[in-house]
Amino acid sequence: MSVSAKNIDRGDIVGARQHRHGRWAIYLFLIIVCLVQLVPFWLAICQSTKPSSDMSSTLVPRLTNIQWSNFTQAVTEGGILRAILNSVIITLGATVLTCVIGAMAAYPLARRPTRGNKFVSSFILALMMIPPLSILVPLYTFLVRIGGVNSYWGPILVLATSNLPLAIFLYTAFIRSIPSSIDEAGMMDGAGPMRIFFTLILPLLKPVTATVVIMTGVGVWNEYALSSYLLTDQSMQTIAPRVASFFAAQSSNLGVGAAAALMAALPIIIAYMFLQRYFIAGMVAGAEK
Amino acid sequence: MKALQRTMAALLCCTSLVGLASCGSASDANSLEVMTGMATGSAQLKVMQQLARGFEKQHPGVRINLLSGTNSYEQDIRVRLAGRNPPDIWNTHGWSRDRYAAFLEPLQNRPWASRLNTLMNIPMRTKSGAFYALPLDVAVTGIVYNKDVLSKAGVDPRSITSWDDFDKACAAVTASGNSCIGASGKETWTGGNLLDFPAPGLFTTAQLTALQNGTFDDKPFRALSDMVQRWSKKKFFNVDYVSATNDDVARSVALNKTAFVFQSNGFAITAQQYNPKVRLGFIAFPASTGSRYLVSGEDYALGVAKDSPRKKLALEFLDYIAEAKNISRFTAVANNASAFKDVKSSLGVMQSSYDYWVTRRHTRIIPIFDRVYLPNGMWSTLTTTADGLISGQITAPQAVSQISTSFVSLYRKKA
Repeated sequence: MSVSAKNIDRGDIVGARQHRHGRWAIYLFLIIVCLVQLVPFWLAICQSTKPSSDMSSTLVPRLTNIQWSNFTQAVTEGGILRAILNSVIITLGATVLTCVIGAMAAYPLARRPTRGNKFVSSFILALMMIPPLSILVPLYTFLVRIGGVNSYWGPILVLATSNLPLAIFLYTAFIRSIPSSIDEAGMMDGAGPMRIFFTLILPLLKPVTATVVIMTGVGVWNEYALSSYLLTDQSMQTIAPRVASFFAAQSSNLGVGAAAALMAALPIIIAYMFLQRYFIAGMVAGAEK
Repeated sequence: MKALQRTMAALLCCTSLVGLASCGSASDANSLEVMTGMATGSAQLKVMQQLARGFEKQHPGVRINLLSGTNSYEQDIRVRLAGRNPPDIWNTHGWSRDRYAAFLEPLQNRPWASRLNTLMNIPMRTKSGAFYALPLDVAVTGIVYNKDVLSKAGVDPRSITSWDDFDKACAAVTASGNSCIGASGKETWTGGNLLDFPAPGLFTTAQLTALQNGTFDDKPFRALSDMVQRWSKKKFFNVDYVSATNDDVARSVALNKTAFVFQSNGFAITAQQYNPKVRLGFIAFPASTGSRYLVSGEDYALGVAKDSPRKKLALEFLDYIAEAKNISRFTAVANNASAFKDVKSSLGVMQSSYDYWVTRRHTRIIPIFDRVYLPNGMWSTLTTTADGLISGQITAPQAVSQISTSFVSLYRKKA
């Protein structure tokens, strides 16, 4: 073997070793990130298994005499199962509306870059800058007048509206990347704008729709600030305000609150485990064209 | 493609149906909405639920919808009032007279009004004798202490007659390895009490009158700020102040690790959740301008919205709660003084302190300082200022300047 070949081999070995070390560093980093992510769940498990009079460390769960009454109380007194159902209905409603209206609004904005449409696009983008809570009182007053408080449709409309600007922005950007020759081909075959949209464009929007579904769905599922004002009736409340109701200024119920939070997180964890592939595909969809 | 279209159409239909289905859920003439401000599963809410069921039994067809509260209860009420959609009845959490009176039905002519304890006159009645909420209990508050922590430090709580004595007691507690004062940086109202409760003992009567007339005097506020800053510098506060919640403070007291808290007697209920055997008591506040005192304030109290379309029914519900056999059920879980003459106070672990200071020594009882002498909105300034002092972010002179600026601005607004 020549000297230069030996040097190359040694270089390969050193490179492979560095590569292996780098991989271990990445694994270590990922393990730490995973552990950090699991800390709240761990604390909730520890807390929910104990009666409030248990003075042992909050980091150690109970293995015997588990306080199952925390979970039963979360269901019977806290109505957490009903809250999960309410969250599912509101999340589903708001997400569907956001996707349908967002895609339909984005189509003409992307296809006809007139001065008016450019202004409308900028205006919709500007709406993203308004914090929803800054319009809380007029919004609440309006919803009271039209009977939208303590209903499903009130929060669905409000949450869909607050998610629409971002959805329209994403859909507009995506539709612009679809060649307009597809629309022209449809027109040649005699299809109108609605038919072109539903038959030709909509099926191509699957990747960006996945992104919008995830962003809107997760946002609405976890939403607390607006829901706590719009849904005050226990039978209509979603998960976040229901869990918050275990913690008041003058009294609180930590164990039952932790049990309720764990039960509320369960559906989304199960959904994620089964639909992981689609979630990840949806998350990266916005990056590809 | 058709499948996709069908799915979307089906989902849209479902959404519309759900919306329509809930259209008929508006409250009717026989349904009362009560905002309790009490946590789900709490002893207080459970009693309220029992009372509501009892009333429903007596009034077939009537439904009482009890809403639990969260930490943002005050904002919830504000939004509902601003939206002109107040609940029929709500817990006025200390503000029936000074904040919500304009929205509430006066109650001095109700049949139970003559049975009310005179203790509630100070915090709840106006000069003309009107009051706007049914008090479920009355808070009579001193400095809450843990007997075992003080005993370990060799401190007799009743020997604390001045703030200098309090400092010495704190030094002894700290030397024994425990925290002297428990407060929560996450729930800054616990710190706000440190500027609020001791204040009346540092002002002369003339200074208090001047304060009510809009004249701000630096000296007493400087003394108050110096005191809190000194406690902070001497490390008398719990070391986890910044990250601690009030539950953490209660847990620390329950574990016999903290000696004093500046909170109402209801604190004992939270501490006893963690340790039913914790031994607590309270002492009167030291005063440099008069005799020692206790602070009295409105606690749980229910007011009826004056514009409620179900006002008659709401007033009947309050009448039902005010019946001696019913109100005594709430008093038993409130851990405070009774609001009614014919209902015995039930302060649990605090009863002996109450008997000593109120029944035996007839300690003077005065209203909560900020509610009477400071313009509306100052409470927020007190909490942030106390937080700054405890965490060392501001000095005592800066604290006084902060309070002064806020006082002048809010007083002008009020005027």
